Amino acid sequence: ATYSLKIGAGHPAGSVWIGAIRDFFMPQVAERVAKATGDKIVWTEAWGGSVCKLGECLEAVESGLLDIGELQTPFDPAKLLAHNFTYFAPFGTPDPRVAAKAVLDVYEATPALKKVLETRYNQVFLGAGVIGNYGLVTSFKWTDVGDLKGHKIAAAGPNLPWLQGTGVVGVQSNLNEAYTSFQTGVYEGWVMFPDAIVSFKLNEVTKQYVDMDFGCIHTPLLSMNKDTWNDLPPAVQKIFIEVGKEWNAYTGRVTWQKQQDALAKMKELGLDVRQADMATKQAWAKALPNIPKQRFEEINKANLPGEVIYTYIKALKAAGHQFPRDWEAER
Amino acid sequence: MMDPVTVGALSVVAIFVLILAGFHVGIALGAMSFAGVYLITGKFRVAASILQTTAFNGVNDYIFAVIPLFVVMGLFATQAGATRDLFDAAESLMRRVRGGIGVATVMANAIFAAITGVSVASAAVFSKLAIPEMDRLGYNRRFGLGIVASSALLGMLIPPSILMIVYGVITEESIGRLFAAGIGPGLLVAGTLSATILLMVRLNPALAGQEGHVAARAREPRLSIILKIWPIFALIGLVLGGIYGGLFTPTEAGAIGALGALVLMVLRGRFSGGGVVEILLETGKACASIFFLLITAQMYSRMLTLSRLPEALTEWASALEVPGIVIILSFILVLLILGCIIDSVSIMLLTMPIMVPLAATFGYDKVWFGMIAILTIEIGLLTPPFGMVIFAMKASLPADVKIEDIFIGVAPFFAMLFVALALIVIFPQISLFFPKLLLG
Amino acid sequence: MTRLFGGLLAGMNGLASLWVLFLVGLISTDVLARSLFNAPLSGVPEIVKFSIVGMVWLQMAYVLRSGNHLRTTLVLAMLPRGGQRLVLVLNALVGIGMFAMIAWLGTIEMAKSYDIGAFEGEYPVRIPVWPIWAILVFGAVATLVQFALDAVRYAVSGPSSAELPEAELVAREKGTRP
Ligand code: NA
Ligand code: NA
Repeated sequence: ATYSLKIGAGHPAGSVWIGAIRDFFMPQVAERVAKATGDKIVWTEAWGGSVCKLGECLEAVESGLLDIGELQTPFDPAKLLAHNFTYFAPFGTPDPRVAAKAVLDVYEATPALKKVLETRYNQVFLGAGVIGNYGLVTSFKWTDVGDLKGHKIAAAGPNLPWLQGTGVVGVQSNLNEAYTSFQTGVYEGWVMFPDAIVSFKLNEVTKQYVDMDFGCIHTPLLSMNKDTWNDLPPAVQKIFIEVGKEWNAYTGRVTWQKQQDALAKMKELGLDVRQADMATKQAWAKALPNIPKQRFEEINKANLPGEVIYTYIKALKAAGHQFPRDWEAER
Repeated sequence: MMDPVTVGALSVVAIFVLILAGFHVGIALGAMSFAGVYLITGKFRVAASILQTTAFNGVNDYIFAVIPLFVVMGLFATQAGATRDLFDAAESLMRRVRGGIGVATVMANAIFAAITGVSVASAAVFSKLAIPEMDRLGYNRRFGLGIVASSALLGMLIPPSILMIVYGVITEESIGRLFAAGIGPGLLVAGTLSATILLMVRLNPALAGQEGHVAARAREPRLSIILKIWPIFALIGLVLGGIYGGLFTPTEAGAIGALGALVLMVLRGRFSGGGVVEILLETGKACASIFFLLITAQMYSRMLTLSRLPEALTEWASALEVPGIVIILSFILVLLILGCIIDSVSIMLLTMPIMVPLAATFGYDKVWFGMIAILTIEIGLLTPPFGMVIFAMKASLPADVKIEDIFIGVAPFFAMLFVALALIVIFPQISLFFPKLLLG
Repeated sequence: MTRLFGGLLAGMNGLASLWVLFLVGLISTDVLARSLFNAPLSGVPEIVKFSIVGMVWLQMAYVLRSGNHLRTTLVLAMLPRGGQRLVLVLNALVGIGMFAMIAWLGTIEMAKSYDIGAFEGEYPVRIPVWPIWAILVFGAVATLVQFALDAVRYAVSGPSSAELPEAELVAREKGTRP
């Protein structure tokens, strides 16, 4: 048989996370399905918001406008509240490969995450990807956390609370506006990861990048419309799940490589790139409110599994990561 | 269920038929979006959902606020009398030149373009500003409409530009470089339009009204007329200076500009509560019909994406075994065809991910190709049956102005825009000179 | 009854128009507070985004009633009377269907947003989503009612001879319908 599947996302085809879908997920699924069952998969691709914009793709998969969507968890802050767990454990691992593994473990250990997608939003979980390690890019130079006081720093969605307590004036923004906003001085810093800084050319309008190791984040979430899923034979379903798992590790590897390249590239482009030492990270982490605890309560209140945050923290610790502040001890 | 590409192609035909028959443009687009998705998927609810999600998300965007804000600013400035003064000054300066106010409109548009990123805003503002002045001077109506429509393109050709930002994001090209690249083509198009106006007036002096109007007003001393226009420059200074001086973004500039124009109104004793309310109601009506089109145009482009028609068209164009320049020309053709039926940002989102890498394989510069694509897509804003700039003008003009008049009026300029496009294709330096000069 | 409905639509339109003024004030305050006191307001981008959606849907029906939704009357004017009637009724029927679907699924989305407390924006200001969906649904219902009134009028009495094409434009200018 031939399965015609519509796959799409809010981010453009050229972005790293869509690249991971087009270079790995789609060809792997098609190839293995052809080999195992002789069936053919024909893709209709709809990237760059051409069917659903960022924050709209969960609904697009729910309704069936898309068969498969790459949801971006922070753009659905209420519906995917629990799925945003990596944001709620600041200063997680800087290594995307470690983060990818831990995120997958969390999904395995917390069935409610998949179940919410199925029962409330009519879709089946296929895979969870990761993006780069967040740092701070600024149009001015700083050394101590105290130097940041009064400066306007931008962040998007769930990153914004990472600025609390530092004396920074937080500004909510999105990457598309970043370049001009720096240019015009609307703000002077961004909480961002190296790869995006290079691809959005922020190096042209900033001076310094401090690798703060805020941690790698899980935002790409692949899911399939449940009706589409039910129409597929079990053998094909199995391949989707299997490739989804491998895709998780793949995003970790690709992101790691991109991160190395981008850090080198930023230096080459003349940005002052420096690594924050443990004392700086500790000073920042100490200034923050107890974010994991706050969010744990918020998630539980929404009738979702708040424990997911601590499951993630434990998974990272088990992988050898050292948090500059022991969130788990303070719960 | 039908073959998606066939559905897409049929929907294009149906859109033309419905719009020509007299359906509301938005209704035709919405109906074909629904029908298209239904025929492709065979599912009623899926088809209905394309209407509902886009009804919300199609306009759920910070950048769209710039449309009403710049419209309000323009109307407030007009109410304050600033625009009238500007045109008096322009006419005074160019009083020996027939068609001077037309050229002044192009120049004013080029200046306004430096504070707006969307051409529909330019079209709406200058319909309000320039057309009444041209009427007053007895200009041929269609000629005046053509001037305003074609010069509105400068809104997205001269930086800042939403199209350039979208292009930069899709292709990972430097936005600063793209902005710089827009200066050359922007000046070229402004020059071309001005030359066209002067040439047309030379050939047919009646286009630019009667001598009597001009003579009667020329008695006022030139200097005092020019001195009277300081408020509009103060406003431009506030908006431009604010953006480039690092105080705010274009959307914020729209709000600050509107506030500035309001203050100006008060300072000049032209403030009246009734007048402000009338302007707001006017703005509301004009913007709501533009936004309804933005919504339905996005519904339709979403359906087209699912139909894979744009992909098929692009693949067809690129599969031909021909020299690179033919590929570029066929891309231009595809962009023009799409420009007849969908909005500019949607065209960019649909085609650039496929076209730009292809152009790159032929060794073409991404910035150069970007300028070609942007001007071509902009020309699509003027082509029937779906011309966003034309619709925006229609919505902001008195009811006796017909859409057909604007389409006809813009035709001579349309031809000259292709001359400008050809120059940009033939001489990459037009696009690449300023980026090199400014960014090395 | 129809006049009462017209008054409702005009009121919604007026509200949307004042909303523009509110945006001017809000954004200006944000800019001034930020540049003068280094204290930007929170949640402005979300409020602005949602405002556009709210304004559009408050105005949708009024813009239809006042004849400001865009169409070309080039061919329509040349059609025989029966043809004009057919096109106008069909257009209105399609409009009813379209806005009915928007209202139907919009209601479901509104309820869901309300249930889970969906919001946009993040610490310290969160803007709830459901009120905007409520405006959208209300606006869509008003628009479909206006389309229904139009459909009945075109089907029963046809387009009045004053309505198409030139005379209609006169009526539009006055902001009234025959
Ligand atoms: Na511009
Ligand atoms: Na067009």
